[in-house]
Amino acid sequence: MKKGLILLLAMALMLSGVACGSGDAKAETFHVGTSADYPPYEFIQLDDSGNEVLVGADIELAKILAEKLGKELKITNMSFDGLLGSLAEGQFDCVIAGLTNDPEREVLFSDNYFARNQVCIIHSDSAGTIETVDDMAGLKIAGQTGTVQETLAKEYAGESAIAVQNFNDMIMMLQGGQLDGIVSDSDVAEGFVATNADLMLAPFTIPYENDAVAIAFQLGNQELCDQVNAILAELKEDGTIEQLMADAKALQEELAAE
Amino acid sequence: MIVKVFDMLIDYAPYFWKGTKVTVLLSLNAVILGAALAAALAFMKMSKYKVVSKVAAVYIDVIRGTPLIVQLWIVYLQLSKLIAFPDVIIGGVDMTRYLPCLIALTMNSGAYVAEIIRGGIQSVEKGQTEAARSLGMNHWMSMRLVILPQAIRTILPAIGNELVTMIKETAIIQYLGIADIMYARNTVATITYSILPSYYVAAIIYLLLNIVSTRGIRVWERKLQKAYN
Repeated sequence: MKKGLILLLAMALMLSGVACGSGDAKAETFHVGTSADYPPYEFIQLDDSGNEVLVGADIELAKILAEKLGKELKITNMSFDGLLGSLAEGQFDCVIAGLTNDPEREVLFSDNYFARNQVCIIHSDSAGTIETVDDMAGLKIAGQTGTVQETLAKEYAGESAIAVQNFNDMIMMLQGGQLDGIVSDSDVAEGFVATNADLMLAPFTIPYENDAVAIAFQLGNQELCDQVNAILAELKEDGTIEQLMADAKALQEELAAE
Repeated sequence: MIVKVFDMLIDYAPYFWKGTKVTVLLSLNAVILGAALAAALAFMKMSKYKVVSKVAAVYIDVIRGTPLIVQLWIVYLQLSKLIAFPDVIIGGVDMTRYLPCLIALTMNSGAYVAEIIRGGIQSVEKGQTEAARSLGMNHWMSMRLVILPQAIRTILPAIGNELVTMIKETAIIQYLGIADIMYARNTVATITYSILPSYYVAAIIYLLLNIVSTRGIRVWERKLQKAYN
């Protein structure tokens, strides 16, 4: 009993002690929020000793940005629908998560850095039945919760659209027949279609006006946004950005082949 | 499917093991700290001062009347504005998210256990207090020497059950990106593209954890009873 009490006290002390310590190092870190279940943008690889390593085009981009800004990179990985809320409350400096430049989102967007299309992943059994955008109406079309794809799914499928929290779960639901299709970024969709023989892309792209990826900053953080924009312009100019995406796709295929 | 599940369990054992440690550590810490909070809340609720008992009652109602995931996000987003959590990583766990998580779980567990403790104390016959008081003991003496030793027998096993509940409830902390069992599951699912097996693996781990802890609690319960008889 006494031991328990001492242990408890020690823990309480530790908690209160650490709670008031540190915090000064913040100015020197470049704190990025992401959601690493979205290959090739960001995903997780395990090294030989079972430690997780964040990889993907966005992660490499974050590393370059941090280096050019002269700051230490810190990446926080959490569920996608928690990212923008956390950004708004100042948990991160920015969100780099294959984020679509949607003006409805109340954040400050950088310039676009990846261009892409919105597509629909379907089961190969339904090949030939979902040929145009209009064929999605009334079908069970899913989009990841809180994403532009969720909005598009609702727009084209109507009442029958479904929002799912986790991208992998959507894929499983599609394979299991609980879904008719998934609205997705072309880059992400290609990876899943390449690694799953029973999945394919519907032969159309979904029209969407803001079809590009950008980095989100807290509203009012114009200074950092400008700095990042300058670096992004450089990286686009010298072809680094394209290379990042190509590398990430190659890595994704390599991992899937294992 | 069974082969797939066991293959995954074996191939990614070190990674799932890490997640399991985080789940167990967080649950244990939350229940232990929660029990301390609960004891305070229970005595507050039984206090003769109306204001004090009202505060505890409102707290318990609010916590028990809202989902844990809502509490988790509110604590994380709100508390991080008020307190600068230490930006350090201990054992691969980022404290800026682990601590808010621990606080949210502790606050939650505290409310539930408070009612267990209060119930335990009030389940001791009123005559016992009256007898103790008539022997000249004051309120605290009778509580400490007569009531609590009897109440503890019902309270401790119930707190053990709270641990079992907590192990399951922590499954939501993956939303904050804390690398627990569910987070490991998601990562492995992303890597292997096999999703349903990953849920089976998670189920097996949770089940094993809870079978072990339930057994442990039962043994402990028997010991408590024996010591008393």
